[in-house]
Amino acid sequence: MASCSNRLLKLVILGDMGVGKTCLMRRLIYDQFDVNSFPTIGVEFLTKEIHPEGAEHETFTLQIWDTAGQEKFHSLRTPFYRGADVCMLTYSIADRNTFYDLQYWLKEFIFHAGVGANFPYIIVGTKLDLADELRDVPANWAEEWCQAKGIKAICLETSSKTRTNVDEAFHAALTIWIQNSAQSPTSNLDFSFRQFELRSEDLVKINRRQELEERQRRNYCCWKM
Amino acid sequence: MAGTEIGLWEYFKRLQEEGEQGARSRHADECRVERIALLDQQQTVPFGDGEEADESDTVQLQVRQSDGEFFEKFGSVMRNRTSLMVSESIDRECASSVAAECSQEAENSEAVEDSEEEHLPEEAEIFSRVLGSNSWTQRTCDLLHFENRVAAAPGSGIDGAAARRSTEPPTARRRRSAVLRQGTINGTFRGIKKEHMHLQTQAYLRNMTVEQLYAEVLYETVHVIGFGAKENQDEILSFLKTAFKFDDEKHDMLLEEARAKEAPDILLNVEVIEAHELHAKDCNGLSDPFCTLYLSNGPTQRYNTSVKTKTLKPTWEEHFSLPVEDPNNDVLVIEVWDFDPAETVREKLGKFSDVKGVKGFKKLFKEVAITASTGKHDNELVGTVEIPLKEVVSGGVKLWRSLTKKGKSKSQGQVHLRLALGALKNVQVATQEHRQLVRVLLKHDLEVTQPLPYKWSGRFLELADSVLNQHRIQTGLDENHVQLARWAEFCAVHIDHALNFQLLGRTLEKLIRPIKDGVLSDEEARVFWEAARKLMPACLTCIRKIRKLMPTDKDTLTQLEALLSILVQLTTLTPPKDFELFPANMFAWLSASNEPHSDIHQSIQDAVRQGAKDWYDHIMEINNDDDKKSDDQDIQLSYYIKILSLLQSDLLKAIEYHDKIYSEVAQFEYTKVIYEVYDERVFGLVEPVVQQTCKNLKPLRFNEDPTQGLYDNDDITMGTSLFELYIALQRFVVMGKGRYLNEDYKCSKFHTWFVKGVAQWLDIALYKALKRIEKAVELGNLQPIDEHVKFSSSAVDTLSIYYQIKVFWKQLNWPDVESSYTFVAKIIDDICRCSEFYAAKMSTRVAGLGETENAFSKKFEVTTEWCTAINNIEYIRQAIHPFVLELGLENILNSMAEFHSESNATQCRKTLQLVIDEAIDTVSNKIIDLIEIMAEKMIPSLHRFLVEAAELLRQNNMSLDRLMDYLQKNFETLHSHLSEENFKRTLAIVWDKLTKQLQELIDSSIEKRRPPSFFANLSDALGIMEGFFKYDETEIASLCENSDLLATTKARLKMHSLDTSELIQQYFLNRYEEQKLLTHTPSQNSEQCCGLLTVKCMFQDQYIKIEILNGRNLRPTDSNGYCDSYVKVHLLPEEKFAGSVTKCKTKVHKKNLFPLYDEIFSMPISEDLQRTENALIHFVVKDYEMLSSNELVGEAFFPFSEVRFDSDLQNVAQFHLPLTRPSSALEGEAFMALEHRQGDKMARDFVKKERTRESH
Repeated sequence: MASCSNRLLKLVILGDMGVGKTCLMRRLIYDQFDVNSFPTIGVEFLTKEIHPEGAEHETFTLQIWDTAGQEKFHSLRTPFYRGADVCMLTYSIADRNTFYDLQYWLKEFIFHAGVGANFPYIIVGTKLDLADELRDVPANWAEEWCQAKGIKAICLETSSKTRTNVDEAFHAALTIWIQNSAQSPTSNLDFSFRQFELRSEDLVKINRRQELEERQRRNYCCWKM
Repeated sequence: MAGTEIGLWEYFKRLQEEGEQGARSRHADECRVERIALLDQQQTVPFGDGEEADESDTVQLQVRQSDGEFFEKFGSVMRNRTSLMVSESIDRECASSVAAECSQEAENSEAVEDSEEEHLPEEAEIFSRVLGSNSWTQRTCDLLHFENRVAAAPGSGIDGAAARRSTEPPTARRRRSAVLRQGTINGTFRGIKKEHMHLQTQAYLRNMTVEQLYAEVLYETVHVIGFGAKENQDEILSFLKTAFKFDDEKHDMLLEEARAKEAPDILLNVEVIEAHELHAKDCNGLSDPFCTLYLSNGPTQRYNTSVKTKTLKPTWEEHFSLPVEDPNNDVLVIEVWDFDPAETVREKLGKFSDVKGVKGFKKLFKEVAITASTGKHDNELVGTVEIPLKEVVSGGVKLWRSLTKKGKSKSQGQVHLRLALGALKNVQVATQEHRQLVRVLLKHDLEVTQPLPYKWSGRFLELADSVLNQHRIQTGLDENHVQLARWAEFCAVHIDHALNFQLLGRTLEKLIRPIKDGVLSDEEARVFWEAARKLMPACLTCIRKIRKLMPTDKDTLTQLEALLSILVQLTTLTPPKDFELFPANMFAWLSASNEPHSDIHQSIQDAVRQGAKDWYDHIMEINNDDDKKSDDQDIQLSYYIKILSLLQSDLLKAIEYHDKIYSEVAQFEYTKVIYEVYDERVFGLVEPVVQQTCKNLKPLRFNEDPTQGLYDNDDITMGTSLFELYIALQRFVVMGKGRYLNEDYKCSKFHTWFVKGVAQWLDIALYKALKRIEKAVELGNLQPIDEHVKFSSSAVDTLSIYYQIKVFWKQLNWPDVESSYTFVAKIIDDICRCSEFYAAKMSTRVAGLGETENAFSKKFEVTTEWCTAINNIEYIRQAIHPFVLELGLENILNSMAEFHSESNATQCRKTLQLVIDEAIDTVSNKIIDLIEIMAEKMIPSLHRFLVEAAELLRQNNMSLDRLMDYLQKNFETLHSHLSEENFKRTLAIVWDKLTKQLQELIDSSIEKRRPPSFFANLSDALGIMEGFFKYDETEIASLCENSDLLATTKARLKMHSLDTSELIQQYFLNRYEEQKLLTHTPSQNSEQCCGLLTVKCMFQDQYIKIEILNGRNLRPTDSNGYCDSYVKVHLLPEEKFAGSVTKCKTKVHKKNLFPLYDEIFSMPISEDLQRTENALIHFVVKDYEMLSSNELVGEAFFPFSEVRFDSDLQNVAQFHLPLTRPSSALEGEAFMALEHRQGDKMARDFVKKERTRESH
């Protein structure tokens, strides 16, 4: 009987077909990797309780909506955008077209989710395991793209196959959300909806966490170099 | 007319001669008439322009005899005789026309002139002989001779023609040119005589006028045939006058003429069909029967049938026409004979072997005897039938008659006959007349009776009926011709005045058989088809315009049925070659595939299709186009919805009324064809609009923060109209799919147009749901709706809102499984959001309730509203799962398994289950949140009560009672209203909060240096509350997460409630615990361990004996690396043993880290004291210092509980006790508590002492 506060965080994963959205999610939750997985039909949903680093007693329930990348599902996935707290945009580092398509995904998301400029994103390059032979998207592109687009995002590259950076990606989602909501608690309407009583101690916690995140972010910068 | 009669007699005589034995009487009908289809004739008169073409113009036929046999030709001329009995002036024109044509023929066919020339005089002679008495014919003959003469003079043809032209009357010239234009004569046929014959008929037919017809009818009326028809002659005459619209003068004149003419010849038409059960006349038991017919007035005029050999059941089927002079009294006699050929006696005897039975012998011998005696043979009479002509009614009869023989009572067999009275007349002419007559009378009839369209059912006025009947009799028309005439005329009239289709159907039915049997001649068949062609537009127009033309009453349906059956019957017949039943200029709308425009089935389909198209256009037309062009898309959409519903109602009507008829009569899927048309049209009309509208949809904006209002979306209506359109289309499509499963209609994938819309609808549904929930919470009074339930109206409202979403989903009935699955996931997610929203609304709703404030404090009490709010959310939470199941998840997942694979379905099932679980979980969390808020509100009161209780408990028990009262009261409220689960939750949460609160209270109380009694009171209160927070004998504390916290709290309370000495003892006990840890994990070199002390202890009687053996590896305390150690022994707790025990101390062992003490101490201790709980032996090893105070080396503890009773120390085991110094125990609760007791000297001193010890 959970009596400690358990917050929900809705995360939407978007990206081209075959980028590996579902694999990423399954790796996180089941720690499985299936080379021959089927294309997602419509939408998939999983939840995962995660704790912010350095604040293990805090629990966040990450509701992950994994959307189908296939074009035929276009109209089916858009309803799920609304109410999202974090958006994870994915591309394959071995296929630059998927990277170029990010802008369409971003556009689609912004249109259907109706979110503002301060919305937090995670940009995930998948299939890092292919980096040596097949890298098609230079590592710095994502960062540059985010700057060009003027969106708040954490960028990282992952491999579901080798489990590189998978947990980190989702933690980054939490991180950037916390960071974002602390900075502008009213910018995201949904935030106040979920936290219908934002207590002062929460703010303290958030601030504390913010420091942690700063530290964490430096970590990200390290491997990104 | 006498000449005519003679001719006739001669004719029949010749027939008689020709036939010899069993001669066949050639009926005039046997002369075959063959149609020649001429190129020009294919150009039929256009129908559609409303003007009815004259029948005679459309019948452009050329008649010729099929073979050149003289008698045949002659017969044909005979038949034409009556046709020539017309008024003179016309006759002349006619004749000249005929002559002109003949001459034309002569001119055109010079090559064959010679042979024809030979025949010409003969032909003329026949004419003159047969028709001699007729002056008209005479002239014709003259003309013929003249023309032939002209033609016979070689080289003078042109001059002759020119000369003739100048003498011709203008009318004749006109007619001739008409003939020429039609190319009637083109030299294909050789026999000019044949040409003459049919040309005559044709000329007459072409030129027949109403006047002629009228004269003819008058004639017939005057010379009526049949019985009982004469009485109303005057009536009929005046009726005719009205019907034909002739004035008196003309009428009288024509009537005079008619009266002046002789009565027509009457013929008795007899068909000898068959006979059976004939009496055997031959010795072989059979007969060779033939019939002889004659009238009693003229027994010499005998007609014989052929002989059917060796049968008693002959079939003849032979026709005879017997001229009748006195129909009133004459009697028809039919004799059946057994034919006996001439044989000699020898021949007869030769038949001996054929003889059968005794009777046969008798017969044979009788025959032999007769032959032998008379020397001749004779036919033997089988039997006779006599039929008075009176019995022959005007319509004709068909009957079986028994043969009788004089002197024999026994029946000699039966003979089957058909009898009819009639007059001789050319069939073509008669048919033509009959048709004209039918038309005149029908038109008159319609004028008189004024029937509604589609009502006239074939019943003529009585007088008209008798006129028609008379005409039929007098002209000798058979049934087929009569029906053909009726068919042709009805069809023609139908164009102007719609007749009952059933009538037409009946008429057609009677013609089907004859046509199939080939009884009708080709030209008659052509007439038939011409009429059918006239009927076609009416039929097809009815089909096309059934929506406009006829109301959907029963009569209409009957008409429709009749109409269809006409069409179907026509399909069983084959129209003549090159006959275009559906001329393209009339039926522009027939499909191109329907070539060569004669497929009736295809035409029906085309008509139905066209009708649907027309109706669609009509609907589009009558509906205001402004709507369609309106800028407001909403209005636009409702326009399409309207169109769809109109189409649908048309389809429903078709299903209800017409489908059955079409399928039964024509095996035709009426509605399906209409549906196909509409399907295509709707696709073209609606699809682009929907796509466009969907494209223009903007996502809704939400503001789900319950503290603020929802964002106002005003463009919901468009999505709503779009949904209505969807539903309308769905109904439309279901109609098609439901009925015609395998058809792939254009609209059947209609839902794909809307895919983008669905997301919008889901948003709208969510938005509306949120709106309504907001309203429901606002309006709800948080009172249970009745005594049986514990939730309030807003929960019920919210649930009903969910069910509206379900209804929406069911209505949507989304066909595509993948999207269905996704949408359902979305709906569940939305429901989750709604529930969350509701919970949030609920908690804001109750936020301020139950609080009272006075000057001193804030109070909070749990109210029923709080409980109801919690129950409401719980109610919603519990509703989620059943609700979700009702969305039809199973079906979706099953189809998913079919559509994709089992593993996909499993994956989807997992996802959905997760979504559902998550939704329920989320709402559960909301409940917990609310309970926490409530508990939080209770805490200040609890805190206050706790403090009061702790401070005043000893003096006044009331304070604790007040605490308990408060809890009791609130929990009673909660218990009576909340569900068990939520009550437990509440208990747990309150307990959790309470323990946390207690923790804080203890902390602050320690800060405030509350006396031990305060903590003791708190501890008591906690104990009491722990007993109170029980549910089903389970301690709530065990349900709490922080059960450890409770234990430490309890420990702390206990500690703080102790006396100082007790605390000190507790401290030492802690030290002992530490020592034990070292004992169990001996680590000699550890920092904590200051060496080992070996001791032996035992109780003996009232004493305790302690032997201190040695020390090992003592901690060096001196600068020289050694220590000068000694051991001091105390018994703890000190105050207990203070009186009885002296302090024991060993000698000092200098500079030795492994000293051997070997000293035994004995102290008197009563048995009671020996059992003291938690008593310890305290060994203190110190370093002796000369100048300063002694330094602590280490301490060891040995509990009384370990000390054995024995008599000799030798038997007691040694204990190696690790030596420790105060360290971690100083952090312990007991020492901390001592430190806090600054006001207590004992505590202060002890703490100081221990601190000093530590620092060393």
